[in-house]
Amino acid sequence: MTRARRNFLYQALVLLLSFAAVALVGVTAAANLESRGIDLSVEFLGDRAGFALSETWLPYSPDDSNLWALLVGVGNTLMITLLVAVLATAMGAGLGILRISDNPLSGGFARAWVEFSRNTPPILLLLFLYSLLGQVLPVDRAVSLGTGIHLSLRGLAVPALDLGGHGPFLLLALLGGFAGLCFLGRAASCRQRQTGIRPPWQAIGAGVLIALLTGWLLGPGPGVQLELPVANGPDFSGGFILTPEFFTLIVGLSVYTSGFIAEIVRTGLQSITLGQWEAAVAVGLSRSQTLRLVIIPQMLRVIIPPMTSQYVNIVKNSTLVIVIGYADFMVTAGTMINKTSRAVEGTLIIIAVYLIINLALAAVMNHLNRSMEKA
Amino acid sequence: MINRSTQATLMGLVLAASLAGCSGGSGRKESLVEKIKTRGTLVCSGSQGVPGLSRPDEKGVWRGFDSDVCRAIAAAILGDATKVRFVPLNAAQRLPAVQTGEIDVLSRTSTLTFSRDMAIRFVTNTLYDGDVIITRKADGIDVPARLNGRTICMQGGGSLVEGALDEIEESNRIKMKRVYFDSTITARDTYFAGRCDAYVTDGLAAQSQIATVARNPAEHVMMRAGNAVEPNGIAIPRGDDRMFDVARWTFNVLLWAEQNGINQANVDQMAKSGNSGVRRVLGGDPSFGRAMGLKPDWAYQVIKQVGNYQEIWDRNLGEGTPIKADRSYNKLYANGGLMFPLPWD
Repeated sequence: MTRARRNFLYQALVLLLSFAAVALVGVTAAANLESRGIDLSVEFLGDRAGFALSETWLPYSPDDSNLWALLVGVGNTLMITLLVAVLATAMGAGLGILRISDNPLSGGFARAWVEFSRNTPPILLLLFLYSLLGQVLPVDRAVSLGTGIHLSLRGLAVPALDLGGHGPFLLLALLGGFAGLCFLGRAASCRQRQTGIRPPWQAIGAGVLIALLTGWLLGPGPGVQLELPVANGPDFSGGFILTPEFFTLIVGLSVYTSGFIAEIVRTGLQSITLGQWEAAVAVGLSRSQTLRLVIIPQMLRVIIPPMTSQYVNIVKNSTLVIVIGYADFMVTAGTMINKTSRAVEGTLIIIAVYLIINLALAAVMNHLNRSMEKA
Repeated sequence: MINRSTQATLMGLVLAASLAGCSGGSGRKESLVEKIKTRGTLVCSGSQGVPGLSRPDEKGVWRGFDSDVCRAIAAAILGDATKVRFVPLNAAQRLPAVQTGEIDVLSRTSTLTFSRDMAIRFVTNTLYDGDVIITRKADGIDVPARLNGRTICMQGGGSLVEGALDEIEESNRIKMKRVYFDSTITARDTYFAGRCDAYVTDGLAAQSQIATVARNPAEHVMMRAGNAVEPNGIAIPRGDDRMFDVARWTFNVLLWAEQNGINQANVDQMAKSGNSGVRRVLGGDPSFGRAMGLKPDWAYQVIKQVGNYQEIWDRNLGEGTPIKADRSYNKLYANGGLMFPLPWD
C-alpha cells in the first residue's frame, strides 16, 4: 500500500469515528429527552421574557420577548469585551514596554504586575476587587469630587450628556465621519502615488468636520444639555452612574488580561533585532517614524496571533461577571432558562452565540493578520 | 459561591443527561422509588445556605425545614432518614437539576407556579410564605412606596420576588434600582455591607437572615412586599406517578401525625395502643405501604426518625431557634392555618 493511500485510509477512519461519536451522542440525547418528556422547540423565544435586567445598553423591559432579552445580553457582553479589550491592550502595551526597561524600579513593577495578574484566578480577582470597594468607598454619604461628580458605594456619578433624542443621529454622524476620514486618507495616498505630492488631507477633513459641527450646533443642536447628578444620601439621581459592579468587572478583567498582553508585547518588541533600529536611524528616519514604519509593523506580525487568543479569552472570561451581578449574555440566558425551563435549547443557544462571537472575532483578527503579512 | 456560573452546571447536566442514560433509552420506565432503593440514597436539593430552611451546620450536616422534608422521604423509602445526599443549588440551577435527574427531589424554597409546574412536577405545598423587603431602620422606609429611587439587592435568575417588586412599582408609580446577584447569600451580604437600601427575599428566609446573620438584628426592619402568598413545595421529575405517591403521602404523614398528636416520643406507644386508624397507618395495615412499594412500617419510620410537622417546624424555625418564626398560614386548619392532612381511606 502506498503511503498516500495509507494516509487516506487513516483519515477516512478518523473522520468516520468522529461522525459516529457525534451521531451516538445525538441519538442518545434525543432518546433521553423523549424518555424525560422534554420536547425541543424555539417557540418560547417569541414569548414575553418577564424578567428584569439591571444595566443594559440596549433598551429593554420585561415585556420584551425572550429573543430580545438574549440580544440585549449579547449587547452587554460585547460592551464589556470591547471596553476590557481596549483597556487591557493599553495597559498591556505600557507594561510590556516598562518590562524591558533598564530602570530596575519600572522593570520590577511591571514584572510584579505581570506575575500577579497572570497567576491569580480571574474570579478571585473580581471578588477581591469587589469586596475591596465595599471596604474603601464611603457608605453613608456620597463624597463630592467637584461639580457634578460624586462617589460612594452606590457608584461614581458623573454628568451625563442629555442628547434630547439625537443619540442615534450622532452615532450615525460619528460613523459617517470616520468613514469619510478613511476615504480621504486613501484618496490622498492615491494622489500621492500619481503626482508625488501629498494633499493636506488632515486639514481638509478637520475643516469639513468643524463646519458640520458648527452647522449642527446652530441648527438642531441646542436640545443637547449637560445633566448633573445630585447626591441624595449615599444615592444619586440623574447623571451617568458607574456602578461598583461594572467598575469591578471592567477593571478586574482588564488587570487579568493586561498581564498576558504585556508579555506578548514584550516578546514582540524583543523579536525585532537591534539592527532594525540602527538601520532605520541610518536611513534618516526619526524615532517616531522608526516606530511607526519599521518596528511596529514587524512587531504586529508576531503579536497578532497570540493577541487573537487573548481577545477570545476576554469574551470567555466575561461570563465570570455572574458573581457580581452584571447582566451579561450568560446571566440573561441562565435567567431565561430558569423562567422557561428550556435548558437544552438555552444551552445550545449559549454555545452557538459564544462560538459565533469568537469565530467572528478570530476572523477579523486573521484578516488583520493577513493584511499585515502582505504589507 | 464557587459553584460559580450556572453555565458550567447546565452544560454538565445536559451532557450528563445525554450520556448517562445510554442504556435507559427503551423499555419500561423504572420509577425513581426503585432507583433510590437500588442506590441506597436519596439525592435532594440544598440551597446556598438559608438558616432554618437548608444549610449545613458546622459538622457539615444539612439542617433546616426543607432538608428535614427530604429526610422524611428517605425514611419512607429506605427506612433510614440519614441516607440523603444534598446537592446545593442556586435558583437558576434547580429546575434543570430535576429535569435531568441530577437530584430526585427538589425541596428548596421553590414556589409552585404554572410555568414551573409545566417543567417539573410539584407534589404538594409544604410551606406558605410571602415576600419580604428588609431595610435599615435608620432610613425610615416604612412603606414600599418610599422605596422610590432606592437601590435594592436581590438574587437574579428569575426569582419570584421580582413579581412583588414589579407590583410595588406599578401600583405606586415608582422606580427602584435593582442590583442582581448570582446567589441570595451574596445579595444579602452586599445589602449588609451598605451597597443597597433594601434586600428582598422570601419571608422565612428574611427572618432567618436577620436573626442569624445581621450584626445587629435591631437595625433592620421587615415589611411585606405585595400581597401574594408563595406556596413553597416539593417537586420531582414529570411522569413518575409512583414517586409522586410516595412524596405526597410521606408529607401527609407529617401533618396527619401532628393532627393526631403523634410525635417522635410517643410513636412507639401509639403504634401499639393508639386508636385503630392510627395503628393501621403506623404499620398495622401493610396495604398502604404495599400500594406504593414501601415497607409496612414506612409511616412509623418517618415519625420515629424525623418527627411530625410541628416538631420539624420547632426544631428549625420555631421559638427554640434564633429565627422564632410565626407559623401563621402554616398552622393546622384546626388552629387557624392552611394546613390539613388528607384522609387515608
